Order: sequence, then C-alpha cells, then structure tokens
Amino acid sequence: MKITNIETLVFVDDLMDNPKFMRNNILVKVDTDEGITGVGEATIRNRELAVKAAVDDHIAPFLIGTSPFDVSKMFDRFFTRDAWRGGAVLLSAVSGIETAMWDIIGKYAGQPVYNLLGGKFKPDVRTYANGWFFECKSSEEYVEAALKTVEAGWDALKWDPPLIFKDLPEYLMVEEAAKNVYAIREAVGRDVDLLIEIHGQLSYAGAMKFAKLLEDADVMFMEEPMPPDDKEGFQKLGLKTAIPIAGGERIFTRFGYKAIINEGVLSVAQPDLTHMGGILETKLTAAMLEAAYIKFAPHNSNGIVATAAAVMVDATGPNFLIQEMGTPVLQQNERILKSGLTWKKGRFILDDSKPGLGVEVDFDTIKKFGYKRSFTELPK
Amino acid sequence: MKITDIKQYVYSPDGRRNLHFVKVETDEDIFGFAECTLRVKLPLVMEGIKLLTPHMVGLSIFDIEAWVNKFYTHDRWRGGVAMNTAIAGVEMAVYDAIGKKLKMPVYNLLGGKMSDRVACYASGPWAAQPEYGDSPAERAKTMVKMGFKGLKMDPLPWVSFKADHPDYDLVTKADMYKAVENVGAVYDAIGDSASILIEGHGRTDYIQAIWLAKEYEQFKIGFFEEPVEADDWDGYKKLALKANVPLAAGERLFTRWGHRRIYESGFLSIVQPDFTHCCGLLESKKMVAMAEAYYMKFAPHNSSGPSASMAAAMVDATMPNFYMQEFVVDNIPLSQKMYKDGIPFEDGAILLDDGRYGLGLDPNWEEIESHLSANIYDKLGW
Repeated sequence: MKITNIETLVFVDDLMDNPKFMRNNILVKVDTDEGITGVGEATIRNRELAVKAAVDDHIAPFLIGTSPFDVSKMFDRFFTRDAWRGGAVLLSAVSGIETAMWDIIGKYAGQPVYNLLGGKFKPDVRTYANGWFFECKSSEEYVEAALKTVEAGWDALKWDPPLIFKDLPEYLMVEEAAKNVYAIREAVGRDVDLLIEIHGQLSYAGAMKFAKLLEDADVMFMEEPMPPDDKEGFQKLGLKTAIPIAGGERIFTRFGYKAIINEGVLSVAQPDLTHMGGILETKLTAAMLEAAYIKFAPHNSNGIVATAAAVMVDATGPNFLIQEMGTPVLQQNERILKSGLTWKKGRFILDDSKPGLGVEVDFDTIKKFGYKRSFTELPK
Repeated sequence: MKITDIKQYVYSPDGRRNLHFVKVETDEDIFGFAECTLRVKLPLVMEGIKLLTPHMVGLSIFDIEAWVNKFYTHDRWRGGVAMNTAIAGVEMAVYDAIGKKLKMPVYNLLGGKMSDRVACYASGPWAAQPEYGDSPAERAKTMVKMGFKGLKMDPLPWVSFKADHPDYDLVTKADMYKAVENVGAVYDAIGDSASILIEGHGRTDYIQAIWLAKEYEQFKIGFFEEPVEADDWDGYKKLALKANVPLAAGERLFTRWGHRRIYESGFLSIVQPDFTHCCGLLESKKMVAMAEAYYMKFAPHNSSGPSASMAAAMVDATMPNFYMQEFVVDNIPLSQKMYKDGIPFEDGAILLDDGRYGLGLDPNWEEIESHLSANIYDKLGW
C-alpha cells in the first residue's frame, strides 16, 4: 500500500466562529493506492496557514509513494533528524499526517487504532468539560452553568476561575476566584471533579495564594498556574502545595518531556496529540511518563478528529487520567462527521466495530465552510 | 478473537541446551508461538506461565496493556526475572497471533520498519568452535565473511569461573593479560572490517575493569559490555569518565522502571535490554523509545534461540536508535531445523519481509515434539 495524495483542508465551522472559541480546523486527508483514505487533525490557532504550508509544501511531496505503515520512518525524517526540528507548526503538521496514517492502518486491518496500540484498558474513556462557561459573567451564572453541564451528563468540569475577575489586582482576583470555586463545589456536590485552569496567568505570589485558598475545595488539579517556562516558580509551588499540578500542553514529544519528568513537580502531564507528533509519539511519551509515575490527561482544544485520535491513545494507557473536551467540539460530532464518536455520561464509549479512528468525515459539508483569518490572544 | 489455551514446550535440539516456547491458542484457526528461554531458571518461568494461564483464557488477543498491567505493573510482587520472562513469552506469542490475524508482520503494529534488514552481531561461543576455523583469529575471519559487522567475545579465560571451582569468580592479573592478548589476536586478523565487542559478564570489579578498558582502547572496540556488575552505577560512572570506550549494559535490568536510572545517569552509550525478560515487545518498544529521548542506542541482548532474535527484530526494525541485534551464530542452522523456512538471515542481518505475518516463523512441530527436553533443570552457575 502506498500514499498517493495528501490534501490539507482549513475551515471554520460556524460553531467555532465565536470570539471566545474562534479557530480554524485543519484536517489532513491522506489517500492510498488501495482506495483507503485516512484523516488526521492538525489544528492550531494563529498558525493555520503555516501548518498548511508545512504539510503541502514541506512534507507531502516527499511522502507520496511511501507506505502508510512507515510511521516511525516518517517521524524520524520530518522531526527527529530534521536540522530545524520541532516547534508547534511543524509538529502539528507531522501530527496530522501521522494520525491519518494510523487511520489508514486501522482501516486496512479492520481494527480500531487502540487495538493496534495494546488494546483498550476500559470500555470507555472519561472526559472533562471545558468551554461550558463562555457566556458566564458572574459567579452566580457560573454556578448555574455548572449545574446545567452536570445535568447534561458530565462529571468533571474545568474552567478558568480568575477569568471574570481579571480587572481586580491579583491578590484580590485570586480571593474572588477561590470563592467562585467553592461556590461551584457546594452546588455540584462531592461527586463531580473540578479542574482548575489558569492559562499561566498568575505570578508565583498569586499562584501560591490561590493554591493555599483552594486546599479544601477538593480539586483534581491546578493547570499552568504560572507561565509554563517559569521553572523556578513551578518548583517552589510544586513542593509547597498539596494540590496536584498539571501542565505540558506546550511541551512536545518524548524529547521535551524528558526534561521535566524528574523534577517532581508535575503530577499530571497534558500532552496535546495534535502538537506532539501524533498517535505513536503520544503513546510513547505517555509510557515514559508512566515510568515516572505521572498521569496523563491530554489537552485538546482542537476539533472532533483530534479528539478521536486522542481517545485511541487514552484507551490504551494504564496511566491515563481524563481527556479534555470542549463542549462545542462535541457538537462537531454531528456537524462534520457522517459517523462519529459515541459520548454518554461524560465518557466516550469504545466501539470495536469501527476501524481506524472510528470517525467518518463528511468532506462535502467541510468544503462548504470557508477559511477565516483570525488571531486569538490568551485571556489576560 | 479470544485466547483459549496456553501451552509450553521445552525443546532440546541437541539434548544439552534447553529452549523454552509458548504457544497461545485462540478460538479462531490461528495460534501464536514465541520463545521465552531463561537459562538456569527455566522451571520458574514454566510455573509463571502456569500461574498466568487461567487468567488469560477468554481475553481478547488485542488487550495486551490491560493484562500486562495487571500481572506486572500493578502486581503486588511486581517483577523478578522469572515472572517478567513468563509474561514476555505469552505477550510475544499473542503478538504473533495478532500479526497473523491481521495478515501483517508485527513491526507494522509498532511503527513500521526503518530498514529491510536488522543488522546482527555475532555472539555465542563462535571463538571456541572448530567448525568456524582453526583458531579464534581464523574463526573471526569466518564471522566477517558471514557478513557480521560486530563480533562479540568474552576474552577473559574461564578457568576459575565455574560454580564448583575452589577460587570461584577469581580473575587474576595473568587472566587480564591473556584477555588483551586474545582480543589483539582477533584484531590483527580482522582489522577494521568489523567491530570487536567485549563481553565482560560483570566478572571484573572497577579496579580490573578500568585497566582492561584502557587496554581495549587500542582495538577500537564497539563497546565494553558489563565491565562491572550490572547494578554498579558508580563503577559505570567512573569508567565512562575515565576510559575512551563506549560502555554497554542492561540485560539484567528490566522494563522502563529498571532502565530509567541508566538512561538518566547517562554513563552508558548502549543499552542492552533482553526483550524476553522485559514483559515482551510492547514494553520493550516503550523502553527503547525512552532510551532514544536520552540519545542512547540499544542493542538487544539474546543468548537464547533464533526466535528470540527474530521477535526482537520486530522492535529493532522500528527504531532510529537501534544499534545491532545480538545473534548466536549457531542459531542459523538451528532455525532451519525447528522452523519450516528457517530464519531469513543473510549477510549478517535478519531480513524483513512484509509477507511473513506475525513474528514471521512457522514452527516445525515434528522436530520440536520429537526433541522435547528430558531435563529442564540446567546446571546452576555459568
């Protein structure tokens, strides 16, 4: 079997065309001479055309005629032994192609990709909700939205508590944010997991105070309390707080993770498959994290195809904790797929009868969506 | 597809050497077959597989992570070489069955092959075997003619290294001079046409090893393996800092958990996991992928039969940091006896062929069943 064509589709689903969630999705479609087509996602905000060029101009021409089974060779060639290797753009391009290659392998074998990676650990993959709070402007509205989200079936919620208090000085902002967390904890009860996202927006002093305030709120983890490269800050906070620290969406590949696995700071790593180099690299990185007793909870602010790919790896990981899922992204399941993932009560149900990634993309619908130029900044 | 039974075979081709095999049967017309020889402690592995068997029957062949986690990672008495080997034998046989079911070689499930050949180095007692020539130097030339680019030898005399010797484990200075002379004779015969790889078997201490390492520098050796005991971390550190020879070790440390410290300490250049003692191919793939992130090469250990080298080749083929596969030279004729097509071996390498499904070997049952071992208890010691 040989790769005959690679096509990159950049589009914005109307659903994503929202100032808080705006992103173009990038899908990579790989065709073969046996009529099997694979698809992978390479979505990244603020760099979509650069990723498209990386795929179309810098990688695809060299892959035509090669075997879709040769995932390792592809990764070695376009990442490991590339003199200018790495970076989010190049790795998103590699991830999209690599994921499509596994989709092809799975379809060829007639097996879901997780069966080619060690098999599923459990019959389902637990997810947590992100994006459920975009319209909220006060703590009361957060509580209401949280309850609605729990009612919709979720039993794990992530949000950025300081977000709506950003006009306050930091020391007051974290106090208000902590109250917001306790209010939600009180409303949802003890059986819903709460995950705290901070987008690296606090100073060490602010993070230290926020962590101290949250110690009785029973949170699963606190994510990127400070900018991800504030190594000293993370070390101090990691030693001080009893709240598990999460991070890693901006760390790529085994080579990136090896630098942090011995620091004893991270309890939860959040690799994003779409920027990690794809399915196998994420699987191998998760295995490396397992040897250091670190859980993995993949970051995913991308689309439904990226989600399906992450689910394939999550399903096989003994140290898998929980998968991130944007609530709007879940709606893409019906919007851009002919056949999608089954999600019930906060979990993706694994289906052995669906080969490859288990999704079938509706390319006719996608081709109706256009590209939209945009640049999104982190909340400040 | 589900596992229905697990059977074991101890095959003794010459009535002397024991090779241990596992057969995993399924509810379809497909079985998996793999080797899990653990020298000296073979009966312990047999018991380990018996322990596993009732828990494995009924499982899907694809669900490797789940049962390896149950019987290794989260086992209350995790590890130990015998249990690791039992798990590895079953796991590799399961992979053989998966490959056959999906009609593809196992390397296609592990990332695909980087090359069509898996380079091997000559191992085993070739330097002492008259069939390869009249002297160690002549035998080394034969190995080079067979295409091997690496020739491994343990040059220290074995006089005292017998379990019943009164000075057991004693290496004398005279032995050390003899070792240098032995390596020199081979180097004079083959020059730079292949690398000499020195096997130490952890028989020397640091004081002896540093002396030997300095002497071996002149022969441009490929690596000095287990110059000190397998877990003498400080010994490796001192050697790595002071001698200009690459150091290798790792066959007696198991899985990612056992190897993590080697990778992090950075004093070895080549790691030598034995996949048949590391819970199988998936764990081994994870180990060597971790080694790659630390810029270490790997050269899997295998002093057992041909099937263990062939199974290891499935992982070797998929990794950019693969160095060479250990291969006992006598396994070539042996593989032709015990497998229908023998091992696809040419010019010092195992050849990979997409048409060979699973682990790529089809057992010759008549030969195996007519040469079952009469005594599974090997002599203790070396």
